Amino acid sequence: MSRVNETALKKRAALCAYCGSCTACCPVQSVAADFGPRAVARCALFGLSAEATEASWLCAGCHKCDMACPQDVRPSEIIRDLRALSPETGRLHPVFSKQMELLIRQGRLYLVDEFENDGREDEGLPRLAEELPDVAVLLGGGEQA
Amino acid sequence: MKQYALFLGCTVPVRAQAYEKSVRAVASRLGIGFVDIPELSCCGYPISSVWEQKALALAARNLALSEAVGISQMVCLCSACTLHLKEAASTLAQDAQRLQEVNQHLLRVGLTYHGTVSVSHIADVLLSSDFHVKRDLSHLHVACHHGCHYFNPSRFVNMPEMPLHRLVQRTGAQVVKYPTELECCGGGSMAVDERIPSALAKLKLQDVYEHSADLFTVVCPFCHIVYGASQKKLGLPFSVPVYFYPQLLGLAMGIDAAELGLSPAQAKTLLSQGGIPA
Repeated sequence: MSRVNETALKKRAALCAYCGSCTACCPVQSVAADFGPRAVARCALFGLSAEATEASWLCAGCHKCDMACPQDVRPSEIIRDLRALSPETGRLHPVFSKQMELLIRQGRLYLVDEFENDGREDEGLPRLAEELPDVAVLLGGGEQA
Repeated sequence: MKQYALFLGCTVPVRAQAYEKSVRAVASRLGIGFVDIPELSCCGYPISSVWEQKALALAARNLALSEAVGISQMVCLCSACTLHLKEAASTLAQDAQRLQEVNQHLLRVGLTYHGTVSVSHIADVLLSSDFHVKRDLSHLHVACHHGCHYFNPSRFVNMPEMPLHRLVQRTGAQVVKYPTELECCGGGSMAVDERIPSALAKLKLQDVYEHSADLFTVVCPFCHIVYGASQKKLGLPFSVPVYFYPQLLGLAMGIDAAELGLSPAQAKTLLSQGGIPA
């Protein structure tokens, strides 16, 4: 279960004064006009969670909006909460289920196998553990896709 | 000698070995000791927005492994790892209930975390070290990219303004200021939509080029992927060499190029006229 619920999410979004400071400084918005933290917060407030969640995946997680917001809404946390609700609402982005799968399988996003370790050794770098079964134990369980 | 657990994360050991090599080379000469723990995993950041508790458990496992070998300071090379592990370490040091919850998960892998580890970015560790410069880099004009997770959000991170400027100046090189300096690399969106980091990188590299920088320096493997490794794909009519800061520092300290992950041509160019290596 996620720690987030939709009521708490809306409460946070309701603090928004719609000033647009967040969207004005958002790097993603500057190159992808259909994304903006203010719009995501508004959608969340009005119960348009499907739209808000879809937009949330574009966020780069830079936290500039959090620092710009005069109301301390922390838009990046609204985005994070929408994402946290997504496995329950069937809106999880496939990239994230893929990343979860990779971590369960190999403990790191990039595979470190014998070949990779041999290469590291050639560069004078220490070998790393090739199997990390603990990670699968910690990440396993019903939540992933 | 100060001892740190060296946290490499996912990207550095596979895709940014020049960064790792140069950090090790520089640290060994500055009295910064690293303890390698081969079982360290992903920090948990990539999945943290969706599965916050699992990501926290992953972070706690890494912190607990460091604690278990008696090392209370962890240093990260990746800015996203730094932010995530710093946030986790601070949560677990202050919130006894969350620490207890996390320890219930860690018990399944035979670990317990006591909340004693602190986390730093390698740039901060270098910032607090004394170093002596042997080679003259004063001809180099360096544009810095701090990277968001190195110093955002401010509630987790307290640092002097523009720490990379200070670090670059201490090598003797000159800092080039440019308007888009604090803009994000967009790396966080790369897996979902590659067009976002590409568009952001174009804007920034254009700016850096127009301000006549000889090179661009970063302290995060992901920022390096966006600006360096992916630069050819952007189709720009110019190119901007991208180096990890410890490579520059190592060069200034007189360390051999190969030990810093620099080719002889790169080193020669950096030491003579700056600009783009042949």
